[in-house]
Amino acid sequence: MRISRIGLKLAAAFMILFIILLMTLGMAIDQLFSHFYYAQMKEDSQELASHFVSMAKNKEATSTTMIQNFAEFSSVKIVWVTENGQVISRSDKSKGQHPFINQKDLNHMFSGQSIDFIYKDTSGHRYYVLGKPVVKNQKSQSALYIVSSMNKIDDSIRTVRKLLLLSALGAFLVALGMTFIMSKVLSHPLLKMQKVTDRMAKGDWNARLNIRQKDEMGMLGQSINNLAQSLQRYRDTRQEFFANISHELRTPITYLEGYSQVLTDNLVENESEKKKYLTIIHQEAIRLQKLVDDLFELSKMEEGKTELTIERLDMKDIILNTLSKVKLKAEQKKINLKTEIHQDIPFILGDSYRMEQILLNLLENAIKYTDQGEIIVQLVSENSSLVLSVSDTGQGIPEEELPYIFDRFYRIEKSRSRDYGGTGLGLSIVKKLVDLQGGSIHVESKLDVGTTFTLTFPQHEELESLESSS
Amino acid sequence: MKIRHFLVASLLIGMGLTCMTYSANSFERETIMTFGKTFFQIGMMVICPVVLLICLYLMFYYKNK
Ligand SMILES: Nc1ncnc2c1ncn2[C@@H]1O[C@H](COP(=O)(O)OP(=O)(O)OP(=O)(O)O)[C@@H](O)[C@H]1O
Ligand SMILES: [Mg+2]
Repeated sequence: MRISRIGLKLAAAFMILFIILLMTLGMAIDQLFSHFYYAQMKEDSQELASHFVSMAKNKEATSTTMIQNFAEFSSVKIVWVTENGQVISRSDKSKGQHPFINQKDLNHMFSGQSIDFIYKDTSGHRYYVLGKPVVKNQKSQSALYIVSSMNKIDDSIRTVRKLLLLSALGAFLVALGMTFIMSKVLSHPLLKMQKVTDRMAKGDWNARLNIRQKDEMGMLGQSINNLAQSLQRYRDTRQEFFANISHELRTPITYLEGYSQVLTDNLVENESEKKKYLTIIHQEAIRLQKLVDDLFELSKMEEGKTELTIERLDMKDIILNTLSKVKLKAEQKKINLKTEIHQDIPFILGDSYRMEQILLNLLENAIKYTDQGEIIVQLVSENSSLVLSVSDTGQGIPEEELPYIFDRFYRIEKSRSRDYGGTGLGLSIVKKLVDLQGGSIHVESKLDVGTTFTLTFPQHEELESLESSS
Repeated sequence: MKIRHFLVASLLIGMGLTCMTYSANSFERETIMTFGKTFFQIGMMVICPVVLLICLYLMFYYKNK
């Protein structure tokens, strides 16, 4: 049997508590019993004594024998003494001394009070001794000692004590059994968690806890499951990430390899062909460069190491700035660039460089995937947040691919990207940057009609209050 | 929780109950009948609260669901 330490601790704590309770209770019951017996005996003796005293008062001569008989009958000893301690009469036949008689008690009794005490003889027997004066004509004439053995009571108390101990043992065993079950039940989920986390630590991320409790234990189990799940997802995406990277790197490298081989082996027929190959090599080198840059950017962002310089942004400036950068490309493809900027645009907090990066990526995509038509950049304010949209009249994105376009390396039709030379990292960087600055991105697209990317940035609370106060 | 654990626990509880019954019965005439009767009574005293607790637990459990 596997002993769970937490169960053991719990059980020990319970048992200690229980033993303390049991001991105090036992003490109380024991005291109760002895006091009860003692009080009972005192009362009986008192009653008996008053009988004897009234007998002694009546007829001096006959009462002696009567008292003796009566004493024998009620199994007590009677000693009748005078003021100076002389024994007038006694119920037992033995001629032994009466060491419990002393002058102090006698003085007490002859001043009219009764006394009682417990006397222990040399062999260890206990007696209850009650002394009472015999009062006649308002004067104490003699005194009676009534001595009753406490043997019986002591025996009874001893038996009761034994039985109490026995039932305490019984209660202890019952409690032990129940605590055993309880500690097992309480520590069971903990042990289960320990086993499962052990398996997880050894790399089995598919291990899951099955705990249906709703208390802290259940919550802990849920957290462990969540942790395992996110670690599993992390591992999977990392594997996928590396696979993607190596794949992405391999393609331009094979191009570089092949064309440079052709050139070194002098397999070109004329100058123009040579130039064409050189251009391809150059383009692939640029592509590689971009890929590495993007990857670096993305990995920095995923580790949360990008530092943003948050400031008050004027989106109008940023849009105009970015548009001037892509103007040339658009003109080359004969695409119209239009802007629709509303008045009263709220200021937002953000990083201007990153914002430009976002916009640039979206515009580059729009230009890249549009063959004819126009691109509209719209900036409006809606429910006190800023809405920026970039729409084009390009080839669009198939609906079933929409959920994935923000994934790393995701491109629609590998052949399409071959023509355009994308890496599939642009939109995932955009998404990360938008998230970092507290915004959200949304895409709508129809195949062969066009695509609209909509960015929403909430106005910052501080700026809002600043504006409303001014 | 295995059967074995339940066996150990019930053995302990049984022993405890027997001890208590014995001491409760010591001033009685000792026959199997009186012993059984007291044993049953004491056992009930143990089982009733346990059953009550389980009932309460189940009640709360289903209420939350
Ligand atoms: N405006 C758009 N119109 C049509 N398709 C688009 C548009 N923007 C993005 N896409 C599709 O989404 C995919 C992912 O875009 P993303 O910007 O991430 O990669 P990329 O443009 O191929 O490469 P990179 O931007 O890294 O050079 C693209 O392959 C493209 O097919
Ligand atoms: Mg792109």
